[in-house]
Amino acid sequence: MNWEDAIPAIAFAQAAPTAEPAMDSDQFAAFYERTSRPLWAYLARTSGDPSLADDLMQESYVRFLGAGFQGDGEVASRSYLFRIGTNLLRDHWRRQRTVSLEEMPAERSAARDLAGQTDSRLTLSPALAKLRPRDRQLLWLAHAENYSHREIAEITGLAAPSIRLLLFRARRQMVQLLTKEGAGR
Amino acid sequence: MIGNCSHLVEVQRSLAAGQWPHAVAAELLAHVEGCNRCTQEILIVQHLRTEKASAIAAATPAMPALVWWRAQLRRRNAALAQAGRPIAAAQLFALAIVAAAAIGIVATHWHAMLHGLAQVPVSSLLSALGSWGLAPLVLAGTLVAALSGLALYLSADRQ
Repeated sequence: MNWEDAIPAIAFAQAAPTAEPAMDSDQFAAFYERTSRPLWAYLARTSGDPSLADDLMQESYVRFLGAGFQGDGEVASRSYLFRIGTNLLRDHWRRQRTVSLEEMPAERSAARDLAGQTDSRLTLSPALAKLRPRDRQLLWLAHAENYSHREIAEITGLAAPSIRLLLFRARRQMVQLLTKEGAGR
Repeated sequence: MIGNCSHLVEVQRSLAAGQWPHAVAAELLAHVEGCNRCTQEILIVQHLRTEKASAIAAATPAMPALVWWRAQLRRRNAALAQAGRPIAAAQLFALAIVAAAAIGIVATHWHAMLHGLAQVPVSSLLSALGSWGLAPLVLAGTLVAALSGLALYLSADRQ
């Protein structure tokens, strides 16, 4: 007789956090080598905060292993990893500020770095720094990581039909900023 | 206007393959010069690729063994917390039984207690309590002890 027979609702109701990892340590090390730098680049360039990217990257992998994700190959695992990182970034911003990621002005997310941090790894281009974090995310996933609209929707949690329009707006704004930046040189 | 250009896929493919602009057909180059959408695509992709390359060069990821160890530690802690849950549930269950037994005793002997308190002196009240009140309490205590022991045994068995 086990407790889950007697009290099924209580016992083992939260089995997910202790799921067996889907890969062994060697497989994980290889996966980590292939994905950690692109993930860090995404988190650092989206947040504008390299130290935060360090923390979120490690946490992303810990949660990835804890979830025991049984994805269909490396592409799915990598996409799932980016999704975890995106969620962590969103949670971080929600904890820090009461405004949503979509409403947050670009200057605000980068202000911390400009005001106090002197991390040498922070080299956001002026155009990227002036974009809103959500726009940076979308553009990065679409053009630096080559994810499809459907994959971006899965990673960001946004509705798939809206990705096209959001990307169009973000792209238009970035072109304006890059053009202005080019003209100013 | 969100509409795509018919040459966009070709442009994207050449950008992804690192062929732009030297290894693409002259027609495509000529098209891009007059196409706003393709020009935007090239401008953004080249800018973000440069950003990505500099970020990847600047990245200093922790050792994978450290991350693996952290994940294992968290998994173990979660398992321990999970194992403790049935014990807590059994304790709560036992507490509920004791409370129910106490309420039952008070409810069934309410009138007798009031009557006894009014008429019997304090010294004899204690002896009266001993005569009818301790038996259910002892029974409840035994039940709690038995259930706690059972809970511990089953939890240990599960581990």
